Amino acid sequence: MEDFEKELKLEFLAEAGQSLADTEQCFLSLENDPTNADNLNKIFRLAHNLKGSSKAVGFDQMGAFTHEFETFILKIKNGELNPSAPVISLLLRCNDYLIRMVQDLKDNLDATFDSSELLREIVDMKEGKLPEEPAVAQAAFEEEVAHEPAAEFSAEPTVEVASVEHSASETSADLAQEDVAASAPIEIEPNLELIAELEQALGQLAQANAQQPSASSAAAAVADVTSPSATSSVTAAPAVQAASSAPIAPPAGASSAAGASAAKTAQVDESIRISLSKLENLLNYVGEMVILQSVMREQALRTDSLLLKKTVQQLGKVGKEIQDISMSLRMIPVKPTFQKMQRIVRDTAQALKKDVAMTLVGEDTELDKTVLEKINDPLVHLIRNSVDHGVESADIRLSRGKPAKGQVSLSAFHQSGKLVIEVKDDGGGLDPEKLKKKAIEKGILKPGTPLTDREAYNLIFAPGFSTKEQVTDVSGRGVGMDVVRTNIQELSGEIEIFSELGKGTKFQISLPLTLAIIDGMIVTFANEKFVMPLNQVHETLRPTANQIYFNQGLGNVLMLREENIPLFRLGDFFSKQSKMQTPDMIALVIRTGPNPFAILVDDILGQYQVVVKQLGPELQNLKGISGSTILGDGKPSLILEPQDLIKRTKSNLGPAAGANTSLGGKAA
Amino acid sequence: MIDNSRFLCFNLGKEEYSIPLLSIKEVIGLPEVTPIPQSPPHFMGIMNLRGQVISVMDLRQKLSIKSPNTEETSVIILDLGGYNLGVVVDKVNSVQMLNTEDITEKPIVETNKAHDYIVGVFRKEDKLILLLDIAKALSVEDRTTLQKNNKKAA
Repeated sequence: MEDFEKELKLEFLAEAGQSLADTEQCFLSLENDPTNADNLNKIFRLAHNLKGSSKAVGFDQMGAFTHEFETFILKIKNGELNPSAPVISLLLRCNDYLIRMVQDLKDNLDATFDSSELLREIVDMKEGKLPEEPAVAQAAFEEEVAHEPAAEFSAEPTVEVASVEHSASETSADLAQEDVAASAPIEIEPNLELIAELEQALGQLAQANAQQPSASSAAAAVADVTSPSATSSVTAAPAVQAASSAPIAPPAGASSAAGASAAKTAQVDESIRISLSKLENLLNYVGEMVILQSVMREQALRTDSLLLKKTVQQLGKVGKEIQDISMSLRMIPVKPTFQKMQRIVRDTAQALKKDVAMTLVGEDTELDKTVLEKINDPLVHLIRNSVDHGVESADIRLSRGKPAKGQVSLSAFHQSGKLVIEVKDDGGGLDPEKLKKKAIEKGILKPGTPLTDREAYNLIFAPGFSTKEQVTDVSGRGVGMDVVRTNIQELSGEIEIFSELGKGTKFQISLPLTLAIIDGMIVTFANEKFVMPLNQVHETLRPTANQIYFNQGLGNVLMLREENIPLFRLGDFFSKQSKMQTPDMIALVIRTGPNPFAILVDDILGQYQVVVKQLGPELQNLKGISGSTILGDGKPSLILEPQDLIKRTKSNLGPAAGANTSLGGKAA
Repeated sequence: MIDNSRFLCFNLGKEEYSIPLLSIKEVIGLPEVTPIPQSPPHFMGIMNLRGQVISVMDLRQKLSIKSPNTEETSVIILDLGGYNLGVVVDKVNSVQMLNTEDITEKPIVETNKAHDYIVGVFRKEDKLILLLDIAKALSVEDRTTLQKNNKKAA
């Protein structure tokens, strides 16, 4: 296989994967709103693209299947077939089948498929409602244009109808139309269609003519059109026609050039997939560049050259910009993950014969790729649980005065530097008494333990706990919830349950936006710099001698307004001594854990965004240290984990020994 | 051991040691090192290697060889399959090409504390150079030390 051909195929498969994700989404919204014309148009366009492109790059079996798929969709679009649940199910199954096809083809470009079974189903489905022979695609396309003059194809439908064969002139007509379509609020799809048509057209162009240099220049002109700033399309379209009308014989070289140019333009508009390790490498080097540049800035202060000073300053700005951009590369919207959940709700609800509507809120919220990937499984589990255990069956719902259709919502939003994901249902809610009873039966809870409702909810995270009497194949066997919590905690996130009996349950997950960058407060102790994550610090103060009270049993206590909170020196955790006098030191008040406490440091140097670097395995078990970072002076520094630090004190030094010496406050 | 393997020879104090060249990523001058609280004495701390944070061990201290830092003090960056580790040595000397027959069994000394780190010896111009199993000398031992420390702390 020639390289360019392979490249085209791979390019197509990458795009097809994206289109199929889009179509799945469309089918799901079609079920909710069967009359939405925009949605139907979009589905049809996507299906048409798939057919065109798959045939163009030589996946004939896929082309044949998508052809039937397309005509099937056309029936729905023309109102000849009602998009009922079985129809949607079949569509989704076809979609799954296509996704699998794309996957298989990615692994092996020569993979073959037997789609006869699904095809028969499609035909049956079509004939069940409408005993007509499926129209051929081209006719279908004409029909569509004729039927939908009001849509975005309104420009010049006659041009389209005139061209029956896939010829270069049709492409030019399409291009003219697409230009109109592009001004409509559709973002990526016109490009895909353009490229699909282009590929076809270019292939034929190359076959039909192409010995003349003018042909390849025409191809280049067509390529230009695909760029979103397609102001040149008006001039380019006639150029294609001109080229196609030139009667010349086909050499292979020109066709490969044409193919390559099509593939190239596709890349300009589409996003590029980059391996995460490459990105991390980039981040490392950008970080290093910023450090080197700060060294240079210091040196530049000692020079007299104004130009050097100015250049270093500008370099600093550019460096900052590059750093910001490279950091943002890791962030991706939660949308694809959320959309997958929609499908899961649908399938789960159908398996359980429940009627459940799903709403998504805040799909454009961005999250670090690694975090997003790891949150997928816990989300799937929570969503399934909501549909299975949360939402009641229709008759129970009606008897409780609720609408028969259950509601599950998945939302994402930012809250105080964290990303919050909520899974909410309007089902029966959690019954604390029932949970307690169950926990006692399972031996998780000792009888007679007093529990608040919230503590009772948290019982469902205990290993081996399942509240449903009958285990269903949907929600598993109660092994999941503890895994859900563990997974979330591994991402340094938290999960909380809010529930009201009879009204519904809400699972709230809060996650750090990224694991790679944190806001840090640089503190010093005994001439060493440490990074305290800013989100851990509630307030900072310079305590006076009167505020500190030393007691042999309690250690040092900081009297902060109405509260008395334990006070430690940072050195207590590390067996280090500072020469500083306590009244000159600064206390960081930490309130993230169950009990507040304060840590004394020598000084605060400032607040910076720092890139978290994992420590090697030889240091992975160091308590109280969550990682390291490289500071502006190029030296590595440790990132503190105050909750871990405090645990270290409790067990290591005993309750009385938090700081065995008075910090110079009032004596007991 | 494969014939014609290459070994990097270096000094710890006056003693000469060597490790397989293929386990080495690079050799650099001694950079600034940030100490880690409550780590064993030979654990010098962490350093910045072009944006990567790696731990630095003082092999001299580990093997109880007293020696001051000099101009020639270097850090050998080891590639330990997946992660890197810096090892401080006094002086990097040469690369030796060795065959299996050049290497002899180490002399058995019952009381030698470090003797399980040493996998063999070879002679070069009347000097005895010791072949070191660096992973054994450092990481295995150190990981357990740190874990022990943490268990105490936990």
